[in-house]
Amino acid sequence: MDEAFRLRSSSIVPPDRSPHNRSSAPDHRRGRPVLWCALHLADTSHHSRGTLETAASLCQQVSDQISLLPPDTVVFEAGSSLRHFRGIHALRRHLAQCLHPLEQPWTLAASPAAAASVLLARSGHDTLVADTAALRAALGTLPLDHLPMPARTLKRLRHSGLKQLRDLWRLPSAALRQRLGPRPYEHLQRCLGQRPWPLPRWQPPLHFHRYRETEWPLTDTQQVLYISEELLADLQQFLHRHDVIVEQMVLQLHDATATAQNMALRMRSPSRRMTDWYPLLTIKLEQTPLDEPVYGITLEARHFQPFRPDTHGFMACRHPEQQQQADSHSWQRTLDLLEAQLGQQALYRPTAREDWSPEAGSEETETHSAPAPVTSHAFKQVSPRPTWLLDTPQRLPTHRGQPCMAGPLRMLSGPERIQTHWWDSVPIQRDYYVAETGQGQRIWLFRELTGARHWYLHGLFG
Amino acid sequence: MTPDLFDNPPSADPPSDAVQQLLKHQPQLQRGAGHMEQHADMDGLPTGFRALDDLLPWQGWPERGLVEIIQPQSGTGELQLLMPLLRQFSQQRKPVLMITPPHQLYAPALLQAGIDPSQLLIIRPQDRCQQALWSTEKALQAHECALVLVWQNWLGSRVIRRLQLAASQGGTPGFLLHRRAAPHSPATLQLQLERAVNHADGRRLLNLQVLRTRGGHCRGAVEIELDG
Repeated sequence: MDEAFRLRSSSIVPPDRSPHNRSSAPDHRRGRPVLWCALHLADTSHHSRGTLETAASLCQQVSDQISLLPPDTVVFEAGSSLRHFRGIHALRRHLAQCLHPLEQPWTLAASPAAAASVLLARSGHDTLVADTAALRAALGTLPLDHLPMPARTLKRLRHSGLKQLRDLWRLPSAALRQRLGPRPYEHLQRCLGQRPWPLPRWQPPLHFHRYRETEWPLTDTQQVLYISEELLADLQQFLHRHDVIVEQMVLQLHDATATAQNMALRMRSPSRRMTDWYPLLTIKLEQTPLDEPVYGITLEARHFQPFRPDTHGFMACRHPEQQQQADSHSWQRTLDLLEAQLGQQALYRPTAREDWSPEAGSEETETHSAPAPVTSHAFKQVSPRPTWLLDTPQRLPTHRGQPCMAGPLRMLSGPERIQTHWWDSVPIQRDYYVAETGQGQRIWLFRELTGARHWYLHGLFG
Repeated sequence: MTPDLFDNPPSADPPSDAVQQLLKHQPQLQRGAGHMEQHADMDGLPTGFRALDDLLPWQGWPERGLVEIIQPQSGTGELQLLMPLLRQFSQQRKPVLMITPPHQLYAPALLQAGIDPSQLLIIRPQDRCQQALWSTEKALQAHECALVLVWQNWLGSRVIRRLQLAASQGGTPGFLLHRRAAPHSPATLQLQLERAVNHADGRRLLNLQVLRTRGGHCRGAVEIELDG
């Protein structure tokens, strides 16, 4: 591949400002050669938007004008970088080094027409075409099926004896347009550099990364907080400039050995206001003991969302729904603070499960996702359940075969037989009762139907 | 003022006719500004129990501030007392935070009571009491939280004052359930739960005693009928 590229690329040199050289190179834009490179990723098993974006981000080392052609091709304009790299060979060598992390084979084709480069790269030609005039010759040997056109048109052309692109060059343009149809014809013109191809420019994903070196080693949390506040202010500016909000970020505290203590900050509801992040940062820092003196602090954020402003005006009243939404965001911030202070597992939401086993009837779910509406009505059909359930049933003493709890119990209702989970290793066979204690407590108790038939306290009617 | 007013300790009873007579016949006497004004600027949240609404000066639970409920043991109907309020907030899809409840809150029972458990958020029991108190203060200060319920063994007046202040700032009603009454409690309302009595006809009656209301003289006992 490299050999072919090298052999045909001799005419691409750093631009010379002499009048003679300019006139001899027709594909110049403002005095620079126009060279479109198409990078085709050959491994079809790895084709995804993410892979393509990774390749595009690596191509940023040689060009700032990049477009994606899913599923397998990245197109970039490299003419403006030729002078910097001192020729196409050095540029290609540098690109090969940059693309090393991709860990998959690729093909690079370059020509003055982006469509021609794509066609060559996708057909496996690792080649360079320096002039527009040479495009016909370079593309001529390609089979027709490399052109994007309907299968019916392709079949018709084949039946007419047209097999390669060079066969099309021989036809008069009017007849060619009629045979190909308008769109393939226009694309053919793009391949020959006769028509521009406006490609949407790829915008690399936003990335905020700031490092602040401290003037002296920091040993106190307050000092770290002071510098982190400055970094947060930078981030706020960044978010405003790009009109985005952020949901999570990472603060890294670097010690003298360049190892970093990472601290992830995450909010349920993304924000771009420093005042929302600062209390969270304060709690996190207060909870993190500084093992080593801090020599530098990095704040990094990668995942952003577009900012959606409140639609209420300055003088207008908020619609109740908007007010509710604003309250909800503010409540999410409070929950974030609570979670930061108490730990991730401290908060939960009780959720009912349709399971006849009392222990499995209620479960604890995390609070980050929005609560699902209740759809189950099965529990409304059964006898009253206690508001408090003991984690472990508490065995009750008996007196003359009757259960006691600080005195005799008065049975109010029952038994309600629950036999379930017979398919488990721990089947449940119990008779449940509601009873009243001498202190006025209403309790939920059961008697085992198997084994020693003990009595257990299982719940309280709070 | 007449000297005998100082000789006798202040009565804890509701304003009697004698006080009314004194106010009427002694023009230099005036009712101290306080409880009526404090109660006038606050609406009540219906308790769901007519007798209790009639007894409380706000015709319901105070809409902000701390309510101290003293219950010697759980299982005496403390949650059933708050069920109508929880049901109301559940229907309005407003968040309710429960901090360090003594046992696992059983979701099927909530569904049976018409409460959507997904609107409830629970903070597990913490190793350190300070964590629970910090959370309570933060939640009370957040005006978006409809209701905060916190369980503790016992809290002193100084801590209750701080929580009361947070609840007033946030405009949030908070209920503190603990085992003993704090003396000179600055809470908006202090209630004592007596034992619930199950009658032969299946009714379950809970005795409540209003120990004090902030800035007022409302005291008394009331018996309410619980759902089940």
